Amino acid sequence: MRYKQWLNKWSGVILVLIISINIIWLFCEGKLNWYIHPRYEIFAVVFAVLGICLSIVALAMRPTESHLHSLRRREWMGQGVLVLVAVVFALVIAPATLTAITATQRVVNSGALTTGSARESSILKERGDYINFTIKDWASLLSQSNDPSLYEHKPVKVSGFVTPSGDDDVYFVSRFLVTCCAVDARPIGVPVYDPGWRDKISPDQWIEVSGVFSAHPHQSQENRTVVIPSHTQKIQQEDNPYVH
Amino acid sequence: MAAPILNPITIITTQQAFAGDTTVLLMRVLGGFFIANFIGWIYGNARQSDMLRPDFVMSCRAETANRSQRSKLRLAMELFTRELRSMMPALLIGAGIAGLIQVAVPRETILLLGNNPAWSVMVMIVLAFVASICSSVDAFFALAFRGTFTTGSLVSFLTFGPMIDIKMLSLMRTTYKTKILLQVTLIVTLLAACFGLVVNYAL
Repeated sequence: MRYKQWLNKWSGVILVLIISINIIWLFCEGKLNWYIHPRYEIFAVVFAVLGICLSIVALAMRPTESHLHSLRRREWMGQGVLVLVAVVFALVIAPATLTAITATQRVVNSGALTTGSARESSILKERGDYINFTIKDWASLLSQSNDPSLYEHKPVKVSGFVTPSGDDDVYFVSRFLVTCCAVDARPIGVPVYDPGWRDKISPDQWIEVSGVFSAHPHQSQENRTVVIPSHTQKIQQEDNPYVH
Repeated sequence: MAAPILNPITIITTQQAFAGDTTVLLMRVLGGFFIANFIGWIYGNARQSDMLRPDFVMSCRAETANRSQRSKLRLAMELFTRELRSMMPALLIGAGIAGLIQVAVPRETILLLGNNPAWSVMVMIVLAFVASICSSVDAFFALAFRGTFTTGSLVSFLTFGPMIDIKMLSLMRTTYKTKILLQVTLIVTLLAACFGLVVNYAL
């Protein structure tokens, strides 16, 4: 009976310890940015350390319960299951980033990407050359207009993971745009025209694609402007897989 | 209830996200202010025992009665342990359900109804409940639906979401009776829908 009372009393503290250890572990591994925006990392780590310190003090002081009540079976069992699930999800299962399945589910380039209309000239001034444009730059411009005449022959070099599109000949080189945390991640991408791409690469594979923009050879309404790749190379997932 | 909406950060992010469209910001602020006051007006005279869970009331009374007998640090640690025991399970279960629904329910299913002035409002309220996004960034999330959804539905999303979502209900369940939470959810849903419909049909 004693361990049931113990579990019921300390379950909250144990859960804080599990989550705090998980946050610090992810930070040390450089993977905390898979879940939250980098600007919140220090904030999260400081509070995780604070949580651990307070939990240790609480455990050391063994505060007495002022209103103990008889323990129902479902109460302590529920707490036990929750602690077990938290251990499995936070400490056992390997951390992972969002994948092409989520990108497809959330619909690539389904909305505006920036608060204002990013102008091509101002991006070009900042980047120096079209080849230095990021995937976010291109996705932002394409979301404003996908008229092929605006992009014809402009060179592009982007990296990201492969997400299938509704067109069998086109896939997206995509990334997730994170504003605050992985919950608000929105998939963005640049469409690449490459018939038979499934024979060479699979969804979720990280690649770097170089090429030029052109009109879709078959005049697709969905992706009027596509990249005709001149060089496609498989790469490792980048340390920070998201864009911000 | 209006605190997640009526604060400088949320107002600034909403203004940035919907720059050039003051209707969304204005209706969001007005909606939050009106709904919070309406809820306050309804429950302002209600007795605590009608609203709060009996076990929560008991724990508060026991805490007050025993306060003078122990050191402040010990009292703080007792409170810390007890609050975590009720809050952490609620938070984790709420976040788990929200995460599961985010992954399991295809967004396309929800988006199919986006163009209808009436249905779009209800759909965005459901999306706000399911997505459980914090109010400081939900305007950017809503921005993604600007092209496909009506303006009124975005107003409903931005008014309802900060007040009611899965995580929040899960947390409030530790303090308030289920009946009260159901009533509040119903009232906020109806009023948020009203604001959305007014924008769609009258503005």
